[in-house]
Amino acid sequence: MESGAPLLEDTQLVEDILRGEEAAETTLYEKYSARVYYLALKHLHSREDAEDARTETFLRVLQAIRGGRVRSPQALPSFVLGTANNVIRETIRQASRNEPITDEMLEAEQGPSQASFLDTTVETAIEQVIRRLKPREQAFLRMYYYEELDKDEISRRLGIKEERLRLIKSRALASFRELYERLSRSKR
Amino acid sequence: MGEMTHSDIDQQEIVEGYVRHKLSPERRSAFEEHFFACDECFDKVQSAERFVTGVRYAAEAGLLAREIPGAGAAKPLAPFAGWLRPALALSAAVSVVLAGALAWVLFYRAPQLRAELARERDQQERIRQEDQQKLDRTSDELNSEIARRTEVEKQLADLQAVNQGEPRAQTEANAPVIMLEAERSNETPIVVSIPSGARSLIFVNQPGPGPRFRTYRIEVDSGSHKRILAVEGLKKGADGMLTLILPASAFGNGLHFVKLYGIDRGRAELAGEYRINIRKS
Repeated sequence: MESGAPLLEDTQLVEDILRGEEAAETTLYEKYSARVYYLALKHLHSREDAEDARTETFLRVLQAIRGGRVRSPQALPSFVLGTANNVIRETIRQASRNEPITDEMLEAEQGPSQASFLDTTVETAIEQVIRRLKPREQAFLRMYYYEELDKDEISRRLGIKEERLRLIKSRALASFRELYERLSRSKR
Repeated sequence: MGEMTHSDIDQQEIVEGYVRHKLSPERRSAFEEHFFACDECFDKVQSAERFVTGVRYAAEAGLLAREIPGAGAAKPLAPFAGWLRPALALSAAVSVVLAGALAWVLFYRAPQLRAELARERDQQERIRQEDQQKLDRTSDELNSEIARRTEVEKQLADLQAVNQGEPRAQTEANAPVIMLEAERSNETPIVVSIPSGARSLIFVNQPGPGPRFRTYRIEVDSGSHKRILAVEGLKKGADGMLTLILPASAFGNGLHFVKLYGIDRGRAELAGEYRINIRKS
């Protein structure tokens, strides 16, 4: 971890919640909500299940803080993550009717999460990015992210060096981020 | 698994590996621990997730180009490729050699030959001009010789006439007459003026009395002692005088030496020596 200030902030948050300050609970939610939701959506592939998992995670985190069960407040991010993973495992277990969930099973659940993260903003942004790419660059993205070919194979097929492939990828991603943020701002 | 640093994450492409489920469980957990506390990395994870999602959506929707025809590695060769490749290589090598030879001929040998040809042509032209000049010189010399010969023949004819004691009928009436005094070692030259248009000079001498010499010979030299002419077989006339007509053209301006010899029984004896200063007008 390379940040010091958030640790102090998290310690303060825990202390404030222990004192019963509702604003601190809101701050805690705003800080970790997106992360928990992202993690849940990635594993559960359902926005409703992810939303439920987020709610359940924060209930448990707040109860733990209020009950003084968070022994090291400076490790609050790890505590939130651990709680979220437990909730996600339980959700998956319930879905599989009490079958024990292991890390391997959890990984196996991590199939393509396309439907979960896809929305009109993503569609619009990626379509605009693709229009800026040359056919060979488009073919690379398809082979790499969709067909899951390794870079050696793609390099051989397209006759492009690996260093060049990495450059194409990073440029396309940067372009996508810029367009996505612009589109998101315009929708707000 | 220890904590991840941003350097590790960037170098090992952890964000992409996480999104594409390519990380080991340990590394995945370590990275989740990281981005739960790191806004920057969580932002990157979300962007990468949306990007990969978008690319997969585009691929399924047919928005992404497929493999580019003709790109990448060469297709497998046909069964005859085993001998085709060396044959092609040999053809290429032969083509290169031929191209080199052609280039050598076009750009090196041909200009060289052209230059040699031009040099040869110039040399021939020079030789032809030199031959022509020689021919012209020879022709001039021949013409000069002919003219000189004609003049000599004319002089000879005049002399023959003199020898016979019969001055030619066409001898001019106003030809200058030079009296050769019968004195030796004459210090003062005889001055003779030859008018323009005069063709002859008449030399007159009176040898001593008595038939001492049967014939006479006269020699005329220029001032530089170059022999101009010599006449033999001269005889005294009925009046006891030696008369000799010489062509005026044989004399130039300036001093001349004249020697008169008497001939008796094949022996020559100097009978007179004279200096003549010719002035042509």
